[in-house]
This record gives sequence, structure tokens and C-alpha cells, in this order.
Amino acid sequence: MQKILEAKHTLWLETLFGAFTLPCEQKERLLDFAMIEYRHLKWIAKEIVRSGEDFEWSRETPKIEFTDTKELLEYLSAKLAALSYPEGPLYDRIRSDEEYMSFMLQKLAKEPSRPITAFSKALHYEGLDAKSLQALVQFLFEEIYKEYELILVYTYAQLHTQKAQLGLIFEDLIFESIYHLKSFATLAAKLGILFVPREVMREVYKFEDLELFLQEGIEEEMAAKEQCRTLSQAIQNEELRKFFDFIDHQETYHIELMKEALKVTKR
Amino acid sequence: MEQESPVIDPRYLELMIDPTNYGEMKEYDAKGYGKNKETGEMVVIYLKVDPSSQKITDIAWQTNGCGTTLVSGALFSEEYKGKTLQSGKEFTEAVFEKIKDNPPPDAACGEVVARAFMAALKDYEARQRGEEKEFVEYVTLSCPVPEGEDNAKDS
Repeated sequence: MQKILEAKHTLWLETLFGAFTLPCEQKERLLDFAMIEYRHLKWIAKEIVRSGEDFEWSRETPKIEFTDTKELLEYLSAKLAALSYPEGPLYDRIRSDEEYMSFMLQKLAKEPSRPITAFSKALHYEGLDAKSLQALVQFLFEEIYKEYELILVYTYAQLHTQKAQLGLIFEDLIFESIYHLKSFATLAAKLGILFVPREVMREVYKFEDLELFLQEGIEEEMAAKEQCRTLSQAIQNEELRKFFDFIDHQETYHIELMKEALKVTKR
Repeated sequence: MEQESPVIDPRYLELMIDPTNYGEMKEYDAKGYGKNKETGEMVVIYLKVDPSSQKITDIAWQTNGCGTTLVSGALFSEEYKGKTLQSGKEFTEAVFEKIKDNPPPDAACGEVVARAFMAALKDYEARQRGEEKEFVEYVTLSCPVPEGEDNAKDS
């Protein structure tokens, strides 16, 4: 099942990051599909844990760079159609979802194709001076990876905890990170520097000490808040400034969630 | 005010998007960890070594670190590949000397990579003696070491 998990992990990233290269209406459709892929990924991982085995977040190299939207949509549709699974209720569900998604992607591929600009390295954002832009690019490189890492770490932790309350906190944190990842990757695509985050090292998600992990996580969230505040102060563009204030306030609540998780862990 | 061009060094941008030699090595001759206790940053380096020439024929590495650690890891790995273990060690010691004399603001990011390489060298030597354990080296020159922590201890 580890091999199936790796294929699903790759497909999730290809669908998710592929979505950021598309125009708005197609993007929303693909983001929904990416969410379904993430749930498949989690369910397959849960099956592995339930069978008494453990899993790894290794993956193949995701392919997201295409010249136009038609090429990407056809690639994803063909990839979905080519996957095969064993029998059983979970895999029947996955097969059915993927048949529908493959069909819809083919339909989208018939719409007028547009060139993809998410990898152009244009590095232009209206109203930003060079210093603000540098800070923004640095932030996006670090935070896109970090949010991906958090999604994997919290998902792994959620699938390994016996404490329901802790599981719910991890669920909240996963959805928060998915939203942040989506927001940051959208900005990266706009700047022409979209990328799939590097693989997360095993030692990061298979941590030995949950308390220590949460304490370090709280410190990281505080550092992220500081970065958001610095960016917000440095950036002249009003929409971006308000965006980083908004993310800053979200991080404040993440810290509360992590403190709550810390309390539950100590019980 | 509109930005001037180029805003980011293209080489730096390339390494951030696709860092050289990044990944896990399944079959290796040495593996070492570098850790920064203050930030929680970690680097693991894997080496494949030709036993007769002692040359590093392949290298892979991974990190949970920041952008500067990522770029340092990529550049250091390019430097190490093809070197003998001894010249890799000399290069790393020169890095430590530079940091010790005048640590730049991002020195910890380079040091954690260099520490991982030194840990991998220790692992290689241990494996030659038939010993198997995990080697970890901690950042000391560019960050204060927390009280009660010794560097270069095996875990």
C-alpha cells in the first residue's frame, strides 16, 4: 500500500499545484479535486496504520510545469485514468471519484487553452519596490514549504494519536495550513515562481517527542507572525499589507490551538 | 515605486526552487545529522564513497531549514561531490574557521550543513570498524549552545 500512497501523494501535489497555474474558474475546480485527492491520501494512510504497519511521506517527482492549460489538464486526466487499485470499499470509492475527475478534466481540456505563466520568473508585483519584493519572495519560498510540511506532520500525528481531542486540534491545524498554502502558492504563481515544495524528511514527521514538537511549533508560529508583521510594515501595496495582517492574526490563533494541544498531551 | 531588475539572483532562485542533490539516499556508505538546538533546524547528509580512492562519488541531503540553509546545502553538496573524504574535511574545517573568526548573520545555516558532513565522516569511520550508530553534530560557532549540551556527541 506504500506504493499506492506514494502515487496518490504525487497526484495530490500535481493536482494542487497544477491548480495554481490555471485561470480562476478552472483553478477552483482543480482545488476541489485536490482536496478530494488529499482525503484519499489520508484514508490510504489510515488503512496502512490500521493494518499495524507504518507509512512514509515519500513520493515521486511531481510534474507541474506545462506550457499551456490544455496540456496540464490532459496530463492529469490521463494520469487519473491510468491508476489502479485493489478491491474494497475504500478503493471502490477512490476509483469512482477518479473516473469522474478524469472525465471532468477532459471536459475542461476542451475549453480554449491559455499559456501558463506561473513559472515565468517575472517577479513583478504592482506597487512593490525591490526590497519588499525580495522579502516577499523569501517569505514565499520558506512558508510554502513550511505549510506543506505542517500538513504532512499534522496528518501523520492525527493518524497516530488515540486522543480524540488532539485529533480534532490537528484537523483544525491541517485545514489552516491548507488555506495558507493555497494563499501563498497563488502569490508565487502570480510572481512566476511557483514550485512544488521539497520532500519532507522522515525525521521531521516521525518525531519522538510530541511535547517538544509542539513547543518548537509555537516558537515557529511566533517567528512566522513576526515575518508577517515585518512584511506588512514594509509593503506599500494595501491589499498585500492587509493580507499579511490577516495571516498574522490567524497565526495567533494557531498558537492557541497548539497550546491547547500541549495541554491535552500532558494530561 | 516599481522594482528594479533583477530582484533576486537567478542562481539563488534556481537553488531555492530545485536544490542540487536534494533527497534521500536509500543505500549509502555514511549518514550524518547536523542540528541547531536553538532553531530546531536539522540537516541530514548521505554519502556514497569509493573505497579505494576515498572519493565522494555521490551525495544527497535533506533539511527542514530555512531558505539560506537550503541554498547552503545545495552549494556545499556541489562542493563535496567528487572530493576525497580528507579534502571534504579540510574544506569543512576552513568553513568553521571562517565562521569562528567572524560569523555572518546567516552563519548558523551554513554551519548546520557543515556539521552534518562532519557527522557523516564519523559515521563512515565507525562503519569501517563495523559499528553502527547515529551521528549528530550540533551548531556551536554561530549560535550559543544551550547549557548542559556537548557538541559532537553520538546519539
